[in-house]
Amino acid sequence: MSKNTKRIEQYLEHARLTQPENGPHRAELRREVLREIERNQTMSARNRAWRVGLAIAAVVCGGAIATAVGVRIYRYQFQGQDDEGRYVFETGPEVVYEGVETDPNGAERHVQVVTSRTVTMSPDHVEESSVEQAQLDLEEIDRLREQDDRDLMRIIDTEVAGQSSRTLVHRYTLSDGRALQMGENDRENNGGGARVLDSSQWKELHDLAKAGDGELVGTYEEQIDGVTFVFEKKRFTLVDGTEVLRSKGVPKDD
Amino acid sequence: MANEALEYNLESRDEALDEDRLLVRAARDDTEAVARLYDKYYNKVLTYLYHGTFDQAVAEDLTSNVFLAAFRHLGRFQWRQIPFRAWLYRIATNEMRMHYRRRKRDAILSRRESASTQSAAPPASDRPAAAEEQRLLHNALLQLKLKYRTTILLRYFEGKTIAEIAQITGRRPGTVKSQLHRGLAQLQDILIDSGVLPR
Repeated sequence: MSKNTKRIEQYLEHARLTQPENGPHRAELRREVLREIERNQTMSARNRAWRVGLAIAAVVCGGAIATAVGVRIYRYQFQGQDDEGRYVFETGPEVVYEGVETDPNGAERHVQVVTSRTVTMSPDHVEESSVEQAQLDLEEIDRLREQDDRDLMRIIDTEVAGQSSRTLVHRYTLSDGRALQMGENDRENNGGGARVLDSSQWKELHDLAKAGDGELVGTYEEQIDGVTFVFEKKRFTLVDGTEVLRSKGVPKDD
Repeated sequence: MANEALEYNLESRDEALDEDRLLVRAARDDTEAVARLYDKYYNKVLTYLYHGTFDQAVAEDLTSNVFLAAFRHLGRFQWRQIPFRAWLYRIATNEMRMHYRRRKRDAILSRRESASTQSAAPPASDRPAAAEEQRLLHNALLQLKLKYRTTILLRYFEGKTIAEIAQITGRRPGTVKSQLHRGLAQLQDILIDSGVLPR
């Protein structure tokens, strides 16, 4: 677009907009902010006392603690958009396991397991800001995940041909106030159900679930991290005949 | 003279940034520093949100969200590596975006048009003509997409540079420039149609 905007620029240089009124809000919010800060400072003083205890433990345990508490930051590279327009980000290869193993013949060999993590983000989120911003968001989400500073919003269990997998949907509140929800595989409860479906089957299942289709099989409750989740289990039959059992759990209070 | 002005301007900006840096650092333990930061930025944030919504009650609600979120997450602030004030504007911009998204969703749910965007009437001015012009400018700004409106507000009513707007919105400077240009072109058309600018 090469439209001449000189006139509007000159106009805006001198234009004035009305100002908001000065009401009691300023003083009320000031009191609320200061109250909140004082409360946080009290809590943080208690946390500091805990950290002293942890530091003493760290001295005893040495390197093991250092590895456990270190926050590793992954750099996400933008890979492009998939068929549905979602933005795909991937970390570089990372070594998740390294060691020496002995084979049945007694020979030692160096073993290294290398993997990378892939994240897809909805176009809405990325296009509202930028690819660079989305990369920073993912890094911040990693930090929050390491500190478990997140809220578990939903749990989705998927069962295909006797194999099940669990997806945890967490809400992450970023430092600039935005809240992002992210579905993550639960490694502790992954029986392979996710791997049985291909991407088109996943999409079909997602569309069916979104449309409210599926035959209700039953409901049940499960305690997870001290919170009671109510699950609704449904049976879906995909166009190719694959039968999928999908349970969606939400906190009981919701 | 121009150089002197520029140098002075740059120096005063740096001083402001340094002051913010010290206050932010102190604010983690010192409520006095929190109060100073709040007093320094309350009006700026409220005015920006008011100009983005032209609704006093909404602007106050969003301002509350901005300051409560900012001070609640102050410990994480340095991660973004942007000046504190840019961070506040970023939170404010996000709050505005979420407000319009919620309102859009509510409008769909209730299946009725919200009339509040058209009700933005500035208070009576000394000159009726000036008041009418302000009303038309308000309405013209409200007709713009939010991304164009916030970019224009930040540039012309908050005095931000392109680089600062890029920091606030998390977009590239080139994208900011192009959004500014598109927003200005649309605003110009609206103001010509409404008779504020001559054809």
